Amino acid sequence: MISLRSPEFVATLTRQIAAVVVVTSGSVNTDDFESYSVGAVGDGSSLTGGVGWNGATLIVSWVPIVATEDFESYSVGAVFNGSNLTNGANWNGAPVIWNY
Amino acid sequence: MAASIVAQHFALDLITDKVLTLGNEEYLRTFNFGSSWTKVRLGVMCSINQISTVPAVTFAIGVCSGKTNGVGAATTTNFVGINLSSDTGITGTLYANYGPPWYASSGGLRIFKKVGSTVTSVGTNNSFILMYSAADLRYCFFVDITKGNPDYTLALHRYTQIFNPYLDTPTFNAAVNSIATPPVSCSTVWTTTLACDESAGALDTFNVFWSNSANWLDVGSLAAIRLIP
Repeated sequence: MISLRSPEFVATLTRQIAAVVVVTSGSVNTDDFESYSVGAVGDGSSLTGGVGWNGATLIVSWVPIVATEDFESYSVGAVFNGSNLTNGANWNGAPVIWNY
Repeated sequence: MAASIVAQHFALDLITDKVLTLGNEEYLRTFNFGSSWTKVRLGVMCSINQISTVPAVTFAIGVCSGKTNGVGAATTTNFVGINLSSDTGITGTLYANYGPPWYASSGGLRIFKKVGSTVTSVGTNNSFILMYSAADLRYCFFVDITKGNPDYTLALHRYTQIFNPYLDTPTFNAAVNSIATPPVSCSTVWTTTLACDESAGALDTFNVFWSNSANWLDVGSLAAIRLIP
């Protein structure tokens, strides 16, 4: 996981980050995360606290997302347009199968 | 034929897996990460339910825009992928040869894009495709697509155990989850580039198309891996 926030800041998370402090000439940018609710932060757009930043945080996850489907959980038979194939992981909705 | 879930028995290994059959049909399913990817890997474990030459077939694996007008439609919104059976356009012959048997396309393979009815492709005659049919045999392919400006890079990887071509689900899943390039148990067949873009539609959907209705494709597993956001 990498956090990007202006002024330019890049960190690789190998431990939990308790606070962020960036010192540039004439300014100090800080965020100690105390003002946020416990929970997932998604893309970081909710992390708008702290001092001296230009806009919210952007978090980009470099953990691969794996979408899978192995058809084992379905009953044998015609699937027609595929709308009943709703299992599998990390898809957005069921598939569509077009017959030509 | 209508696409179906069928039980495919692998007698030598005493395993029965359910597979999706496609005959002149295409499968489209949208990623949960949509078009927000820089590099995606598409995996297909499959076999051809046929032991003789398959004429005039398109076997395409790639990404398209939405689930309405995929690569098999007369007018495609936007598609980028690879055709495993093509000689010049997006249709070719898969010749059954000696062996378990295995198949070789008439002209190698091609990467291509399709926008509307216009196909633009780059091919090679030197890369040999192996694919197995019959009840005890199946195979897998992985297609890596990396966005670029303007050139997208496409790479084809294939299962390496050509003399022991039964591929079980755990082996396929190990390749899927290895993240390595090429995936575990696979080797790279071909890597090349083609200028593509998303102006005609965001590339957010996994698309597999098998165009022959007399000889169908048995799909055992599918996987899509976002390798680079």
